[in-house]
Amino acid sequence: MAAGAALSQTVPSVPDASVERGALLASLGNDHGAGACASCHAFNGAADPSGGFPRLTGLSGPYIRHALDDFAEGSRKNVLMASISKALSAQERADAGAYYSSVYAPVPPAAPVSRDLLEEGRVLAVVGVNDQQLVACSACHGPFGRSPTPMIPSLGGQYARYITWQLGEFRDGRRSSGAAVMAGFAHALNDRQVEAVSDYFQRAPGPVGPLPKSLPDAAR
Amino acid sequence: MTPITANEKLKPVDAVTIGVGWTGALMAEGLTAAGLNVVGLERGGARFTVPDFQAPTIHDELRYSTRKGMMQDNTREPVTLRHAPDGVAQPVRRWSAFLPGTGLGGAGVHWNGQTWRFSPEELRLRSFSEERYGKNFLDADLCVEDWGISWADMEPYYSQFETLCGTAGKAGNLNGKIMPGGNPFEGPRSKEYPTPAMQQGYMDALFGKAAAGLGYTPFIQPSSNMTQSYVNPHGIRLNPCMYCGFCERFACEHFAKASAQTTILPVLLKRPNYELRVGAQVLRINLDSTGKRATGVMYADAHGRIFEQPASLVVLSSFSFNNPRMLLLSGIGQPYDPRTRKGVVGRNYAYQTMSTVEVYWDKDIVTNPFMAAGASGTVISDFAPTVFDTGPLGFIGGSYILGGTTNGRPIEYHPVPEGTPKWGRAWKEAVVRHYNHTGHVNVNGSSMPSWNNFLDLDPTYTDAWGQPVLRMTFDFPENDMRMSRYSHAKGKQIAEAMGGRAISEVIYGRPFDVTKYQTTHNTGGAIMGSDPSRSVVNRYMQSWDVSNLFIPGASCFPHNSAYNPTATLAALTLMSIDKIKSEYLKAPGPLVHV
Repeated sequence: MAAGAALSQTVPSVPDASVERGALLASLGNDHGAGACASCHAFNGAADPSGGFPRLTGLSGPYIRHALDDFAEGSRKNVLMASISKALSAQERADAGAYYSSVYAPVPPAAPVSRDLLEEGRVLAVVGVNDQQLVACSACHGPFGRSPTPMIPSLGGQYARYITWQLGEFRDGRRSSGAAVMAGFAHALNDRQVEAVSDYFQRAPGPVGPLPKSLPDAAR
Repeated sequence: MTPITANEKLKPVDAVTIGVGWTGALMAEGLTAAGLNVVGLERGGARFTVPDFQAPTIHDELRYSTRKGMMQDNTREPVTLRHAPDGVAQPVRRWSAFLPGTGLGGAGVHWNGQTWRFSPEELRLRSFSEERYGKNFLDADLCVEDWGISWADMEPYYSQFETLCGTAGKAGNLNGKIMPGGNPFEGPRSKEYPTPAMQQGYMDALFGKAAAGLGYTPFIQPSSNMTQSYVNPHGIRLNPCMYCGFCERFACEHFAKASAQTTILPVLLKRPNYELRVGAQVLRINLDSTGKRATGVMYADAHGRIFEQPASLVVLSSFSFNNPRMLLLSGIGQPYDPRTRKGVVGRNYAYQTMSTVEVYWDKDIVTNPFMAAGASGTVISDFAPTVFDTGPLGFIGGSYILGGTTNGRPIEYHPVPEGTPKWGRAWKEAVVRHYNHTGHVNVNGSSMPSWNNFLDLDPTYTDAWGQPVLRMTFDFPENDMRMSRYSHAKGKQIAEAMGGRAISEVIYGRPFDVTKYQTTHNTGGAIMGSDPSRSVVNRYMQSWDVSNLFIPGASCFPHNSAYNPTATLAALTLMSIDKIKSEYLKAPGPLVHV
C-alpha cells in the first residue's frame, strides 16, 4: 500500500538562512570548490542578457535553494551548476537563496523587437491557446510577470534567451524538476511561440527585489 | 400537450443530439466518424478551457460553488420535489442536494473526475439477489431489475473510456489476477489504467493506514484528473493535475480533468460534418403520424425563435433526469403510474445514499485540505454492492468508503466539531483551530429503485417556455437506510481508528433533504432492460417505441450503484455507438427484437 510512502513523507528541515552568510558566498564562494555566485549572477542578481545565466533578483529564497538541490541531484542537468551545488551544504544553499532574495536590481531595458511578436507573446502569457492545450503562463507564474507563489518563479524581466533555453531544457528532458506540466507545454510550443513568449517576459515588469535601505527617503 | 409551431423549418440532417455533454459529444464523435452529418444542440453556452476556464477567475468560489454558476438555470427550468406519490411537490428554486450542469460539456465540466466501474454482478442485480438470497429477499417496495448486459459486454467499453480520458489508477484485478495496490473487488479488467494512480495526501494516507489496520484493502481512487502528460487516441494532450482543489463545481484551467472539452471536442468541432449550436433549448422530439418514428426536434434559440430541425436519427443526451422529461413532453413511451405500477417512462429513479464522518485532530496532524485533486483520495471497496454477503444484514447494495480531503475552499469549508457555536468569535476561533487539522471519511452508498420513487411532469409548474417542469417523487427506501446505517458504522470504525481527538457524523437519510448537498448522481427514469414492458431502452440505448431515438446517459440505469456513474454511462454510450455503426446505419430499425 502506498500509505507507507506518504506517511513517511517529511518536510525537510529548513536551516535558518542568513543574508550575511549568503553575501559572503556570493562574493567569495566557499572552501569546497564552489565559486563566487556573483562572478556570473552579479552581486545584485541581474547577471547579463547573454542567456547563459538567469536573473536571480526577485526569486524567493526557497526557490533558489530548491534549484540548487535540483542541480545537485541531477533533475536539472547543468555541468557547471551541478559541481557548484554539490560543493554547497544545505545551509549554504539556503544562505545563497536568502541573499539573492534580498537584493535590488532594476530591470535593464531590452532591445526593441517587433510589436506583432510581443503581442503574440502577451496572448500566450495571459490568455493561452485552447487548440494547443496551452494554459496562460500567468495562471501559475502570476499576472504582470510576478509570481504570487514563492516556489513558482517570476518571469518578468528574465532574459529572453534564458527563458528560451529553459523551455528547450524542459522539452528535451534535461530539466525534469518542478512542475510536471512544463514539459508538455514546452513540447506544444512552436519555435516562434517560444521566441514570442520569451521576448514578452523579458519586457514584462518583473520583480526588482526590495529597495535598498541606503536609498534616500525621497527615492523610496 | 400544447402544439408548438416552428418559425422556420431547417434543412434535414442525419442526426441531432439534444445536449452536448459527455454522451452527446461521444455520440457525435462516433456518428461523424461514420460519415453522418450531425448537429449538436446545446441549451447553454459554448465554453472552452482557454479563455473561459482561466485562473484566477475560474477559482471564484462565490460564483461557481455558492451560486452554482455552471448549473442548469432553475429560475428558467426548475424541478419540483415531493417525498411520496400522495404528496404535493414544491419547486426546487436553488440547487443544493444535486447539481445538474448546463453549457457545452455539461456536468462533465464540473465533475470531480472519479472514474469507477460498477461491480459486475450489479449488471444482473435482480438475478443475483434471487439466486443468492431467494425470491422473497428484496423488500416489497423495491423494483430491482437486471440491466440486460453482462460484464463481458461492458469491459471493453470501460477500457475504451478510460483510454479516452487517460484515467489514473492501479488495476486490482487484471484478467482475473488480483493485483496488489488496486481494488481487489473490481471486475476483471483487460488493461491496466492508462496512467499511474494519483498522489496520496497525508489525510488519505492516514485513512489507508487505519483501514488496513482493520483488515480492509485500501487503494487510491481511480481518477480522470491527470497524473502525467497524456495524449489520448484522438491525439489530444491533457496536462498533469496541479492538485489545486478547485475541481467539483468548477472547470479545470489546466486541461487536466477529462471532459468533452479536453478529450473529444477539439477533433469533433473541426469536422466539416459537425455543427454545434449553442443557446438551443430543445422543446420537443417530433414524431411521424405513426408515433413510431422521430422526424426531428423543435428548439428555441436565444432570440426565442422556434426552429424545426428534421433529422433521421435523434440522440437524447441531456442531463440524466431531463431525458425522461423530454420523453414525457414528446409523448414517447408509456408514462409510469405508481398506482398500477404499469408504464415505464419515469420509473426506477434512483439517487445515492450518503453519510460522512469528520475526524478532528490536534495541531500536530496537518491535513492541508486545499491541496488535493477532485478525485484524489483513498478508498476501500470491501463493502461495495454485491462483493460481500448482505443476506444476514437484510439489504441489497453497499457503499464504498473514501478518506480524503478535497475542495477545501475558503467559503464552503469550515469543519468544526459538534457543539461549536454557529457564528461569532467562538465559531471563528474553532474554524482557525480545525481548518488544517480535520479529515473526512465519506460513505458513498448505492440506491435501489422503489415503486414509490419516480419522475413525471408537474401538473402545476411550468418552465420559461411554458412547458411542465420535471416532478421528482423520492425518498430513501428502507432497504437503503439499513444499508447506509451498516456502511456508516464501518466508516465510523475507520474514522475512530485514525487517531483523532473527536469525530462528528452525518447520515443523509429520510426525509430526503433537498437543501443539503449529497450527490449529483441522479439516475433512472428511462431505464435499459430486455423487456419493453419494464424498460424504456434496449441494451443499446435505443428506444423500444421509437427505433431512431437513442437515449444515452445515467437515465438508463435500472438502479444506482455506490460508485460514481460517469464511466458506466460513457461505456454504455460507446457500446451503443459501436452497434449503431456496425448494424443500425446499414439497416435502420430495432436492434433488439422481442
